[in-house]
Amino acid sequence: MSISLWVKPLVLPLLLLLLGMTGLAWGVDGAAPQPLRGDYPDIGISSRAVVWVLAQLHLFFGALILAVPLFVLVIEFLGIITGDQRYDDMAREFLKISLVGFTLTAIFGIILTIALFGLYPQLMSYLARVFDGQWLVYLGVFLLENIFLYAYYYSWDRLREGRQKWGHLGLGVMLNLSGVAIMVLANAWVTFMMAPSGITTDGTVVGDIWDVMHGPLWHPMNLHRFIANIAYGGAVVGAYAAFKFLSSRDLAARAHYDWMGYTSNFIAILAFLPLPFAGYWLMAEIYAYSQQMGITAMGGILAWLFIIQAVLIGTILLAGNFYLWSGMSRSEGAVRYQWLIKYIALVLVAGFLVWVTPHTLILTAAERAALGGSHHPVLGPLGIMPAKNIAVNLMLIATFLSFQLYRRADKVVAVPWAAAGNALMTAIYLVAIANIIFVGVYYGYFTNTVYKVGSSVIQVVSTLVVIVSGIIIDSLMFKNAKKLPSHWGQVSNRSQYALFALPVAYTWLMGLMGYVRSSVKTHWHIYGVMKDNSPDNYIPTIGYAGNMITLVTVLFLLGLLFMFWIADRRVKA
Amino acid sequence: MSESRQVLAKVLGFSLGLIFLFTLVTWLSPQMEGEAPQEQIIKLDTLTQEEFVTLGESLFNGRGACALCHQPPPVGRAPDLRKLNMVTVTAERLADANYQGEATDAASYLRESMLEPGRYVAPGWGMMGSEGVIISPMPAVDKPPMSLTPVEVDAVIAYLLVKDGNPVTVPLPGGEAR
Amino acid sequence: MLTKKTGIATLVMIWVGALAVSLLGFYLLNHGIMSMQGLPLNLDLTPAQ
Repeated sequence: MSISLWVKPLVLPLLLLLLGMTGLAWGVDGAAPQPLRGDYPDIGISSRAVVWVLAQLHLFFGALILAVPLFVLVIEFLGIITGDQRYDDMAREFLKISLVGFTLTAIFGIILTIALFGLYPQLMSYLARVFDGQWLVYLGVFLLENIFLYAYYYSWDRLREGRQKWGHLGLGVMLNLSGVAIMVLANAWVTFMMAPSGITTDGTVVGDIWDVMHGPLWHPMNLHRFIANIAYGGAVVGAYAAFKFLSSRDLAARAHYDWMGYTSNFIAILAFLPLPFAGYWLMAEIYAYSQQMGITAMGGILAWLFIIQAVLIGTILLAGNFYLWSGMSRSEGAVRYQWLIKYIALVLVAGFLVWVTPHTLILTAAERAALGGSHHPVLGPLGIMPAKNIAVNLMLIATFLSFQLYRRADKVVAVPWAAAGNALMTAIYLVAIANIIFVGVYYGYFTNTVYKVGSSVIQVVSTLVVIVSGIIIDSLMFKNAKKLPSHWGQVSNRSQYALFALPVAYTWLMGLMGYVRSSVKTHWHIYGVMKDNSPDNYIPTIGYAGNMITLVTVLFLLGLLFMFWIADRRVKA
Repeated sequence: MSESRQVLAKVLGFSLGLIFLFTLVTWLSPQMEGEAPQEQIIKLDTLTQEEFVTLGESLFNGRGACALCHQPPPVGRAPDLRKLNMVTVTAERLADANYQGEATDAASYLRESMLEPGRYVAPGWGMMGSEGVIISPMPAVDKPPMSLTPVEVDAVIAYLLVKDGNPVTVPLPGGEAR
Repeated sequence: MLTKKTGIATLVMIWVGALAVSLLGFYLLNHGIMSMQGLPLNLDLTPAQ
């Protein structure tokens, strides 16, 4: 609290000062500047590295503070309609944990802004000109968000009863809306740099601010980041719960934190499931905007990066599933489903191996001669999209099955049509899996490109059918089901490590994706319009990127520890 | 409190170990560095045909970004130009009833394909457009980010003709240096 | 309502029915999704273009 008090009054004057500085750039002619190498400020270390670290830290904390209020709102709402006080208490606890995150996000944002304007003045003054008054809107929404945050958190007790509780919920809604608005405004800057709109080829602005913001990548980016934030927030809060679980000896406390961890993981995995589809949409729009940019990302120099992405997502899915399987020990009814787990694990591992298989290998001439080409004769076909689409969709279905089994574990179904319902559910799983494989193999390898690409939509929808029908059938089947005893806290210590693996992998993955997003612009600040002539105008190697991503991930972990430590001290205060 | 410290140590150790694993994967992956194109001053009036063709080849693989898509199947998103004979293929394309363009020979067909790719979509290589019509996914090469000049377009055409042993039917540039 | 007297026959019918419904559903889904994208299919799911 004391930190926040003196940070906020600093924000306004600083930002106004910066805006004033950009105002000096106005009045210059319409085209984008084309700075030469010597025009870039030189501070002795890589400017790109500085901005990289600051931007990632800003985004990590930013993602967290956008996500947490969203599920705080949902959980507070659940508390109202169920009347269960535990939900309300947990919602409040989640918010309390993340409070310092708001300050950290703001601090990194301010330093990032200073670094950007200081190290890339021509680019920033051009962007400030193009985005015109949008900066002021951003500033205004930022201030609003702070007001709603304080109001939402500090009025929790006072607005507890009756109609006032709904008013409190309303404050939460406004907090979320302003948070999303901030993200959406900032996303426009980034997507403009990748796929500019509203300007001519030399950078002269010809449209209005809406034309500038509403480029082809804006909404795919908005959707992807919105969903990803939720998954991320769940993962981070789950780590907090896991830590508290492991540190507690008291059975009641362990039960409480086990429940908290489960809820967080539920949010994290549930939000994670649609993410590949949002990412696919983003990638499809990149290809539609510029085949060249798309190929650079997935078929050219950055292609191996997506193999590494497979490693990370494999980690996330394995951790999430492992946590669910471990959690089955909470209920005695889980024993009936134990036999399925090894098959789910098999699907996950096999899918992961397919996903991780590269297509174009980097070989020496001798190796190429031995192999008979640059692709492995047998495994090569596993390296291209049709195989990977099959793998991903099957892994998601397997994960949902883990979910479904966990949810069924503590119930004995009592509806008369149970046999038919189970038969239908099983049939849907089997046919969906067969469909995904058939469609992937046939259209992927035996028809032309147009049908190949179109068939991936069938695969996605098949997966969604499994998920949606699973949710519907189960909710109908659970009517009047007998509940078996389920013990919160009765879970292994080992399972909690899955809740640490999740945010670590997510954070590192976000860093990796940031490297892609920035690199697809290759040697352009603004693709096709403003060349990057700085000393760092090349795509760095994956090894260098790995080091940078590790650096920001470790820094973020330290920031998280600080955040949780402050949250703990509030409890004692 | 020492209970918490122990847990913290274990958790940090696990997290750092996992992070190290991810980093290790990046170290073990093939290390490639993207190179920004270098500004080249080329004296056009003294360019021999051989040098012209070499320029075309370097543009094909480099700044022109042709090689990104024009690869052998199944990776290639466009006809494998390096493998196909341009003169033979042009004859096929021009003979197609769907061909509505204005080219008459290999050089003019190649130029039309590079500057107005939407004029004719080679069968099997189109993509679905917004009105349900098959369109060409290829961008025009004289626009950003490739922004090839007319001389550079000619150089690429020269390369594409020479590589199959066909005669070069585009003029060598004379006059201005770049 | 399933009871101990429910025979194999009924169970088989339930499962066959479930599979039939699912197969039909996904078959129609394939047709629907592809034609929505302007990629019509023949009855045997081969491309119609």
